[in-house]
Amino acid sequence: MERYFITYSEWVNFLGKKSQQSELMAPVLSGSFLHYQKCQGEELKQVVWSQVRPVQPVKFFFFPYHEEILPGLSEQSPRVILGVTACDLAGLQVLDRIFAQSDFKDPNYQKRRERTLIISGDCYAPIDVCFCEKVGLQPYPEKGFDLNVSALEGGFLLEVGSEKGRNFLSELTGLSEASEEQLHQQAKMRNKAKETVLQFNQPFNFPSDLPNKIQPLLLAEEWKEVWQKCVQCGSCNFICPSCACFFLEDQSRGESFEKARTWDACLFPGYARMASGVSPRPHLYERYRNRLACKYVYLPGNFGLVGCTGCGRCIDGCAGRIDKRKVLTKIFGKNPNSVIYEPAKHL
Amino acid sequence: MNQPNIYEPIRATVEEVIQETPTIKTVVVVPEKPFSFLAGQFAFLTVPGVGEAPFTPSSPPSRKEKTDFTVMKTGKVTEAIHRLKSGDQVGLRGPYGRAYPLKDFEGREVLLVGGGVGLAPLRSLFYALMEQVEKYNRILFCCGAKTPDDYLYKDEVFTEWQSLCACQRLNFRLTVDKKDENWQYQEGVVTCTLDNIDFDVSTAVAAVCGPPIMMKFTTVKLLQLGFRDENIYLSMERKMYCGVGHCRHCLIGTRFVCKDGPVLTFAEIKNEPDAWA
Ligand SMILES: Cc1cc2nc3c(=O)[nH]c(=O)nc-3n(C[C@H](O)[C@H](O)[C@H](O)COP(=O)(O)OP(=O)(O)OC[C@H]3O[C@@H](n4cnc5c(N)ncnc54)[C@H](O)[C@@H]3O)c2cc1C
Ligand code: SF4
Ligand code: SF4
Ligand code: FES
Repeated sequence: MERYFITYSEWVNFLGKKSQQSELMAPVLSGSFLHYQKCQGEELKQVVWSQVRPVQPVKFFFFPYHEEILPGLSEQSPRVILGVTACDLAGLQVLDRIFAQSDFKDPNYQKRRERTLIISGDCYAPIDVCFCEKVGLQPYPEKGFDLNVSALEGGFLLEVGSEKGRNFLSELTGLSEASEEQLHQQAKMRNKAKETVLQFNQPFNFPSDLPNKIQPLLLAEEWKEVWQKCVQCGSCNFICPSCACFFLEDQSRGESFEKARTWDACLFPGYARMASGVSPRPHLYERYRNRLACKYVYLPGNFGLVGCTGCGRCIDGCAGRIDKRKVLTKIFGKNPNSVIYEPAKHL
Repeated sequence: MNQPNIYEPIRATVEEVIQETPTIKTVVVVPEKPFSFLAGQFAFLTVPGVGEAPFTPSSPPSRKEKTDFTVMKTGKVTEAIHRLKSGDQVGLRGPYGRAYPLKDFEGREVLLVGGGVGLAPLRSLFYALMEQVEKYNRILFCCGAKTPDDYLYKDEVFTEWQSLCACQRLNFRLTVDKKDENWQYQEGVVTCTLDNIDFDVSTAVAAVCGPPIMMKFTTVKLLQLGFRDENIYLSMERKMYCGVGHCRHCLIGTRFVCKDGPVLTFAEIKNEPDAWA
């Protein structure tokens, strides 16, 4: 792994130059929250480095709320996204599996992905809803980035993750290799962040290999209680870095076939309703359970990746103030042997 | 880089529209480019300006120049399909999904159970089976509908197909929920036709298609008769938008009805909490 040190002003000046060629999106404080904003020149001084993930996940850049999909995008200008946290990289990996790495390739997603450079960043300031450590991730990126940036005293540690990332740095001559001392500083910050996440999650008790463990508990009676404050707003779906469900609408005019797509939410009653009016999940508790099952059982089954990155956005944004970690604690409080998993029960 | 857009349909022209029952029509479409499918696969039919919906073709898979879709009127898109006239332009996207594993059916007894509009995909499967009927041990086709008037493909079911039974490998059992004075077959729901089946249930396969409630009760009946979980092939219906495993609307557990189905075996779905609608 190539690791370099760059001073604060050198890096910000360099990005300033880059922002003349590409659109540069970076986390900036807006109110008391971080949001991605387009930054140019001097504005880059406002970028917040190595803090918690911004409010919106990076999926917004690759898979917008509403878009025309047929015909697809004709052009996508180059874009650089700065400060993508480890949890969001994991979410992006799920989206990659769905849209870019399966037998069918999504035209718009692929185009945007190819034209985007990802500069990830460590997270040294997790917040109380973060639980990446509980789903097998760390608060710092290990793969899936073009470059990673860790804030150190007086500058940054740059880690090259891909050829694209190396090329991005090519105009920076005379970069110095990171010193032992600087690597040590990074490791110390990373460990501290890990510990913070673990501390926030002490009250919760569920296993980290959720996919294997939760499957037999999907028919537990407890599911009929845990969802009760859900108002089916769908925020948890929309704000999630790995939720990617959508519906399609015909927009054909005249001779050509045209189509638009819009996000959908599995918490909505109409989500799975069929033409006959019946739905496989008529009860809200079934839909709530489905969302968790999708993250911890179905996505792993489909793509070998856990769907939940522990970013905590669905806890932060829940209108019913449901803390999913409490839900999991309750479900796992149940003795798995007491759930009678009877295949024909629902026949 | 310049791959075709996965959502781009092939243009097709409606050749004929046949009124099967008061609520079901068969539209015969002639695609502009070659379109072929295997029994069990499905496709999206687009009515421009209205929308698209998934259907399983009902014509013989070996007939390439035109494709039949038998469509029940239930909502926005299906109503628009019912308004189509010969010469109208539609779109066709597919085929998608997994075909019936006909190779595995060879040497075995094959049971087809269809209810109402569920006869549509089974018609296509039936023609595929008949093209190499000698390979299967025996074929029994059980059909049900509400009333005699609700039967699809009346000329075929009551006349043409009956004359094929001379080959002895083939039999039909026809029923209606409520008969009229001219009905000469059974009366009762389609599961009654499954009583006293003399199949070797340890190897026999069953393909079932119909409304959700019928699928459920037929599965229960087949299990009681001793059919193996993995030999019961169910045509699962789910809300579908993309057909390519992206939109996640059609999932039953980890299985995509659009990619792994639409026909799934009972063994594949039985452990899922919301397999049945
Ligand atoms: C694999 C498969 C094979 C099938 N084969 C056949 C067959 O051979 N014959 C047959 O008759 N039927 C078949 N069906 C059922 C058929 O697809 C439905 O009857 C059809 O989709 C109904 O469409 P509709 O537009 O008429 O219904 P509607 O329920 O009115 O839907 C109208 C449209 O509104 C939109 N819509 C509906 N609900 C929502 C929502 N919650 N959010 C956003 N948009 C929404 C959708 O675009 C939908 O197409 C099959 C289904 C599947 C899955
Ligand atoms: S399910 Fe919640 S915590 Fe998990 S990735 Fe989605 S928004 Fe984040
Ligand atoms: S955010 Fe909370 S209230 Fe809204 S749908 Fe999700 S669980 Fe229900
Ligand atoms: S129809 Fe979209 S995933 Fe199956």
